[in-house]
Amino acid sequence: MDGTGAVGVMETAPSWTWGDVDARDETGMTRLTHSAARAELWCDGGRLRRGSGYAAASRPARHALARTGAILCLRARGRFLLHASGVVDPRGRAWLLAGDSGCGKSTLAYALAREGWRVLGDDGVLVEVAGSAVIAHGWHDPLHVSAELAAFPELAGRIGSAPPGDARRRIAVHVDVARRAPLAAILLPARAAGDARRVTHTTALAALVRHSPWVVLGDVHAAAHLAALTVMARQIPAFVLPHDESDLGTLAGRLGALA
Amino acid sequence: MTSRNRTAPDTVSVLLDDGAVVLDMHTKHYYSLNETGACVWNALEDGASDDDAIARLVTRFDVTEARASTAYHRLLDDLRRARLLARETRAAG
Repeated sequence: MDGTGAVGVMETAPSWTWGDVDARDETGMTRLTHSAARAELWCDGGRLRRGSGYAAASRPARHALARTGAILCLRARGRFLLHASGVVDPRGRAWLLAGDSGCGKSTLAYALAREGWRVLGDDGVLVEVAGSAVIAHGWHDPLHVSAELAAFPELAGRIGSAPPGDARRRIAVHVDVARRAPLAAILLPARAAGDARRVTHTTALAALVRHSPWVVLGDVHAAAHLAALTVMARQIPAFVLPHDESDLGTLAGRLGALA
Repeated sequence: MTSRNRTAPDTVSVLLDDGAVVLDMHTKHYYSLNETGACVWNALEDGASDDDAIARLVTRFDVTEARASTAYHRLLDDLRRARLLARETRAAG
């Protein structure tokens, strides 16, 4: 037994923001504020109501607010968004790839899509506890993958269509999609060498909290949200998945050995 | 008057078989605790005194009281720095 490292600060920034949108619980309602546009949208009992500055805000700002509002409305109905990519294997089982931006979620999802797996989402997947199962639902943002990766030669000819400001030269790719599937495993991608390793329930839950930050909103749905993430951490095996470009071709086989 | 350490009022925790995760709903930060930390956190939530909490560590991890005490107080320092602790004062007796 050693108390060293028993408590660790895992997050030092306010974690209930989503892009430019900040969410705060206020007397039973949630106020969403787009910081740059100074526009507000209220989520009240699963319904959205426009607030100050909304009508005059830019279309991207309104879209960002509406997207976050939709996340909160779904949350009120027991479906919780995870910042993750999701794929469905040929056996019909869902796998989540949860991690910070740049960890390789989309790259891995596309590598698996090339092997015949279907995609639930690129940057978000909804999860729902249904009886003894956890169901992953699609959240169909387009899959964006770097056109510079040698492992994906079919994308090289489209590199010119990547947005000029994107250092990773990502382009939208067409893949087969899935609507929902029972969740089989949670993967935490890491750009490193080595074998996949199972993580503890505590590590899994901390990762799920990190990637479903609305859990800390403190509204009436927070307890159900945390309970759902806890069910996932307890029931679904979670693995750190080291990867680099050289092993993308063998990824499906590696995952088959895990679960 | 006596005082005891307590978990801070705005915290929500989940105890697992291999540790715990604590959310601070005020600061919106979250923390993970290993098995030792989870044992102590559970004791604090139960209202245990320092001696009771240390005794739980001795029983749970089969270590000496001195070693358990060192780990306990080190952990309290960590929790205090993270503002996850509160002090509760009661009339003696």
